Amino acid sequence: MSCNHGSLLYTSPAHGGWGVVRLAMLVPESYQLFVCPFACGRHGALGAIGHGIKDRLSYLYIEESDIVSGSYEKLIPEAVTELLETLEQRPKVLLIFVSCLDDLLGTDHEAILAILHRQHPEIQFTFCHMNPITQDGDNPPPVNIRRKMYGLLKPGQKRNNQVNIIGNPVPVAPSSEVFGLLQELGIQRVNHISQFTTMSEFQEMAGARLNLVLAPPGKRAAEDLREQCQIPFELAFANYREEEVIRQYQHLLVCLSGGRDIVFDFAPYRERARRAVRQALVAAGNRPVYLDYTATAHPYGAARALLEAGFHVAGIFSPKVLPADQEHARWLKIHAPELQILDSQAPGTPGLIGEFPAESIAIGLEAGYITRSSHVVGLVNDEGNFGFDGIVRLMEGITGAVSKKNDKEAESLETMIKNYGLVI
Amino acid sequence: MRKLSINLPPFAPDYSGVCSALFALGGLLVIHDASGCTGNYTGYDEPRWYDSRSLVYCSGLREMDAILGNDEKFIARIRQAAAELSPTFICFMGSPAPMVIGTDLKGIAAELEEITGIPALGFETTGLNYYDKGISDACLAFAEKFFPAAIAGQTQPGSVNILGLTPLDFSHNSNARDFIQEMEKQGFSVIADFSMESDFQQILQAPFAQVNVVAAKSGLALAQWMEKRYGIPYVVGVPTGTGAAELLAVLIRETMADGKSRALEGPERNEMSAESSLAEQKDILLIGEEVIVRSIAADLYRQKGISGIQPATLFGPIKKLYRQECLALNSEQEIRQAVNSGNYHTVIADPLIKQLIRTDTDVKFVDFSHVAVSSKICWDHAPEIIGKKFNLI
Repeated sequence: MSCNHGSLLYTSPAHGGWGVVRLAMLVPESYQLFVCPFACGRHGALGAIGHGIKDRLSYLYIEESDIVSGSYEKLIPEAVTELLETLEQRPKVLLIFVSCLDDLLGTDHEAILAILHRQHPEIQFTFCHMNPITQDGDNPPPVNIRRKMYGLLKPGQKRNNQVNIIGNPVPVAPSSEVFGLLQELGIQRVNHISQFTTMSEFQEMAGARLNLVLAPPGKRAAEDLREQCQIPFELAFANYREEEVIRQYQHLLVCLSGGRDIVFDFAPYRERARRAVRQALVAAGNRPVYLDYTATAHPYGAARALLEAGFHVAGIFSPKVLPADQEHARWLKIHAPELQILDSQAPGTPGLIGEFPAESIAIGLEAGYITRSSHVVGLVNDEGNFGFDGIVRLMEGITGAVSKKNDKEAESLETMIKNYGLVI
Repeated sequence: MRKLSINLPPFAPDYSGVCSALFALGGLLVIHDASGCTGNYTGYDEPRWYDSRSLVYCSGLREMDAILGNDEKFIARIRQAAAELSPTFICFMGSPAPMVIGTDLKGIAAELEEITGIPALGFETTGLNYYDKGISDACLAFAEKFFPAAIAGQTQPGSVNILGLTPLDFSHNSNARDFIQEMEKQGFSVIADFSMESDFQQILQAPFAQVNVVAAKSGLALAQWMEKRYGIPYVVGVPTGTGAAELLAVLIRETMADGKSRALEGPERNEMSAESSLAEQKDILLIGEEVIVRSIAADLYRQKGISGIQPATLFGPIKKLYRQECLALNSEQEIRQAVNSGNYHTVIADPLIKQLIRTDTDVKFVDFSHVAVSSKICWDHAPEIIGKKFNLI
């Protein structure tokens, strides 16, 4: 039960996620200009074409002579002016992305921003980073890009009775009981960045009462917002254990009730989740279940939830254990010592492809690719899942994947991967 | 501004070219990067990646390693992986970050070879050059490493190699197999292609061919090197359509007879038929890989009498080989100017280029997708261009 962090990294066709381009596109009325060697931009641009968002993304290519002479800092204002003249609609925000190269060159971003502000005072400029070279640091790209996105919220907004859900690129499914709970607590609106179409509307998030952080990379952004806009935050990551869901909700009640005695009846939602679990168990039978870190940020917790519910969990593909998952990893070590812990990025992975029982269930595209399970649940990043409804959605995914009777009925894994449009 | 690319995506870079050229040969290929560069190749420049067991990896470069120059760490990682995976060779290549810090990629490859006893190649790829340079450098380095010094008296009469055959130019449909079959149909035996269908051992037989067929610009440097080292002449061209297939076969036979290298190309202006219609006087702009587009021009002239085709490339023209000049479109700005110049009634190019044509013109656009440009956006619909399957216009 160990993962190798000191080896070459294998990149399966199912590796990736939203990528910084797609994430930052959530900022309303924004445009992105990448300033980098052309190669750095290829995956982001092609991913953007696939997602229909390339019309808000352009490139300024850096050449060797620009790097050697340091002239690329001078090129940016010129490129920005030309770009803005070309665009039919001027953006409210221009996100200037730099790549790994910039971390090593030490560009003076502030000086460039000062020039840009002077030349285009009506536009907000921010430097963003697509620099996986910092991946092991404390501000890696998925964290940093969220800080930059939510960092566009300006302090001074009038306090409102709203709650922001942040960190997760896809909003929580409307079927989640969390909305009913928040309504019961008197919350007038629940905000997610994807719902705003203008920058001024987006600023409403700056006046919220609370930030609920649903994905781990959003934590630093929440800390920034606490500092910047005096919005407190709570970590409320998606999880699939009944006990933890209840604990999460009870905590929310305490946070938002303001001392009032608010009662929220969880029973019908819990019963719905239990029903979904029973159905999924019947569907899954004794098929081994493999799950991966692309499906859920906390695969150890999810594996524990499935094991406790009675599923035959056989393996977890995950290169590391996040802090919120450590307790579950310890529990699994004691209660499920036979569980395989696999690193899907390990050099030997190509040799493992298809070396698993075909009549198994894979939760996550990467687990599906490596195991070649007949039944794949195409969950990515816990998308849309929260609370009891999250359990229901996961279970429905399992039931649905198993119930597909043949290859024709089931979407091929290759199609699932392609349709999702994973970007590194 | 030449360096500003507003609509088009960046094209395939040099490290993708190196990997593409060596992908099928059983090597351990390591891109020295943090993850994005490897993701470019595996996710967007390698249509063969899905279902593949090829050994392509990211070194996992991190900021502190770059600052401190922790080369030993990566040498250890590669050594460990090589011990586990037993590759036929090791290939270590760069990306933008190693370029900035000046990593000695060839030196590391040499050290790896010494430590592991496995032949190793190092490439100073930077992400600042296009894929064709990567393919070209990889083919050349491979040949220098593995080909024998001499092959006196062992040439196989009537045999050819196909050089520069990669999915970045030919896609991952039937084109590679069709190319080989077309050569065989014309009476030639194919010793090796570099490198879609041939494996490591087959490619080692390449020096015994009588003629090299250069399928793309990226195969030219190896052909010239093999001509110099072994005296193998080459013919540059692709059997795009039955007309080009026949013309190419004639050129190969002529070269087998006289030992002189040749290239297939379309007609020059002064060769065009006097009966060419007025519409034909206004040219067709054909943008793509240069050897392929010149072969298509030759085919269309022979088969359909279509003249006035202006070949154009996005990746720098081949120098000192052809009579007719190839239009070098070196930036999005230059492509935009060319397609809107009013000089062309038809533009044949990758589908992504269509968006650059002004909507108020009546320029006809014909899709001709190119993996090195539009990648997986179009590669499921890549055209079959060999022999009688060719049906572009």
